[in-house]
Amino acid sequence: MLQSNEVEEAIKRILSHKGVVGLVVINHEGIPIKSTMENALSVQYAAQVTQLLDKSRSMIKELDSNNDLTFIRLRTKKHEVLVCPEKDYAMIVIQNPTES
Amino acid sequence: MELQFSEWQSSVYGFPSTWKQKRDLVSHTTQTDEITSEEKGVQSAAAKESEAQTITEEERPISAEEFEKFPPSLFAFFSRVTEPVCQYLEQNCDPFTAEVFQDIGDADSVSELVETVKEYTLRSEKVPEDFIGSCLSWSKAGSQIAIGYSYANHEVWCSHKAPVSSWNILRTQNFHENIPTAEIFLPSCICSMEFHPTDSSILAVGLYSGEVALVDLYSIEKGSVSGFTVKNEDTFDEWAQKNDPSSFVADFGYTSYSSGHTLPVVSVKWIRLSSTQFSDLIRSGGGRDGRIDNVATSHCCLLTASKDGFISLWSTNKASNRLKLEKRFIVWADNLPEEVKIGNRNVSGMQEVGVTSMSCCKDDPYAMIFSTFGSYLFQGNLLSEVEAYEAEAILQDTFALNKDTLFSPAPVLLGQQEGCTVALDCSPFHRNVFLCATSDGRIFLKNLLQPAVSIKELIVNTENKADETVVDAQWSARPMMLGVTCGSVLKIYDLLTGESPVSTIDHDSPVTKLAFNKSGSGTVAVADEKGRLHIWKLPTKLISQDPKEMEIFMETIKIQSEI
Repeated sequence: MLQSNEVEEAIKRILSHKGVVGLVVINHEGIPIKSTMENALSVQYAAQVTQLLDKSRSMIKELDSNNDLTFIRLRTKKHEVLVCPEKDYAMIVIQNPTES
Repeated sequence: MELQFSEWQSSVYGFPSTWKQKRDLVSHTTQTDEITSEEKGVQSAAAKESEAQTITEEERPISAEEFEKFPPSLFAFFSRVTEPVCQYLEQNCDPFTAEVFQDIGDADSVSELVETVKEYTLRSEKVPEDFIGSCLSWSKAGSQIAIGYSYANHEVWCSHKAPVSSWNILRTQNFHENIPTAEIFLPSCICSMEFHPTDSSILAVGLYSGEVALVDLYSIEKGSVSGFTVKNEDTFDEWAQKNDPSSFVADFGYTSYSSGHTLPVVSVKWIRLSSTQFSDLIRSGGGRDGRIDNVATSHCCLLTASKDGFISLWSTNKASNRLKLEKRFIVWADNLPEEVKIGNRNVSGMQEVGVTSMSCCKDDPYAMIFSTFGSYLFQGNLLSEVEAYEAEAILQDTFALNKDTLFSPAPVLLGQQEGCTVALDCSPFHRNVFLCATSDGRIFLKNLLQPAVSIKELIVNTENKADETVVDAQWSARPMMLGVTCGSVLKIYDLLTGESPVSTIDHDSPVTKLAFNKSGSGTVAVADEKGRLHIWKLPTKLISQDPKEMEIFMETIKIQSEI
């Protein structure tokens, strides 16, 4: 039970940053297992980010097999998408830093 | 004997009456077996009370069973990942990085720009007062704008030294509206120019004297140039024999070729080819015996057209400081269809037909359209191997040209315009659509496959003012938008909304040429007769492309071709 609290605490901490719009945690299959946004949007993000992760990882490995992907920060006109991939899961955070 | 009938008498028979005279009742009883009855008690065995209450998802606490579905690795993941993610999130809130974020993102593009805003008015100090802005070109990345100057009137020969000035718009430090980033004086007035498609520092310039110059803006900017002239009679090879060729560009900032064009070069266009297309084209020119040095040769070719009727195809080297003439075409009266009545076909020296404007087709690197004197429009093909024998024979005698073969560009007559054709532009979105602007104030949009019928006709000079002539027209970065300079006004038309201009930008002197910035920044540059270069930023609603626009564009073209 302690661990579940920790997870909740961590999520609250991330959400408390300025401009954070939402958070999605996906598993290795690309299915969202935790999300603070509505379901349809989470599924969309999950699908797109999974493809992006695969492509980015393969690109880095191709260029240098000793290298690996650690983090993606995708800046767009409207916000920034941060993706932290790990072996079994990935965390996607959407932030709009210019929003006050 | 006598029979006697006598009454028969019989006895009466009687019958006992069966009428019931009294009721008969007999009573009987029936009885089943004896009824048995028993008494028994019934009671339910167990009872349970339970509450039911609806709870929304968020309120529902995750019960212990659910947690078992999330393996412990998830918690480990969170503990690893939260820290770096928070760090990055905090970084983004840092005011310094927020600035960087905004600069990269170009804040204006998210906010709406409602009015057309003048960004800059540029005029180089060193340019004499009486020069007009005669041609413009944006670099392909949209970062540099170059303007060429020319004298308004020429008698016979041009002996002016005209400058080409270029500004780097994206550079905010050291940006002066009167001091260009790079400037060079060329031996004659500028008639046409275009930036190299990939290398933003190379500019091809067509001069009034018929020369073609390749300007290297980077070396000019570095300050190593003062501007020299190469005498018209010298060809590069002759010059190279006397001097060290590698220092040519560094000293002068440009290399100049007298290509045998004797009249103003009206159009210079770069063409990008793939390596197979390039080798096909070179082979069709009969040159080089099929040997192409792929290391040194770039696959961008330059096409120049001039009023003397010659269209020349040049190849460049990778450093883009040398041009090599690969193929020459001539528009010769005899190679044209019968219905074209130009000049006097029988008088020698008048059979070449001058080209007044040219544009290359999108997607098809070998096709181009050009207009000639007499306002005829033709479509030509660069792969044509039709030799213009008569032209060769006549011209080589009279002008003592090298014994090059001259080809005919296989001209297909598209039509003849009523007014004088001032501008031709192929649509960058459709390989068969082009616009044609005539000086009497009309713009025609045509389809190459069916040139007789215009897709649309726009009347620019609606009030029929005599001094308002159309000088230039160009497609913009959106499929259905185009711009026209007419008098002292720049008119922007959006075919989605109709036939009247969506935007009219006034200037205080007549405007000559316009150029849209095709890199998506939504700016348009206009040159005027006072030699000034105006840069306008168009409102967001004009620049942003509707997702359906391409479909509507295709539909508009198709409808016409079905008529």
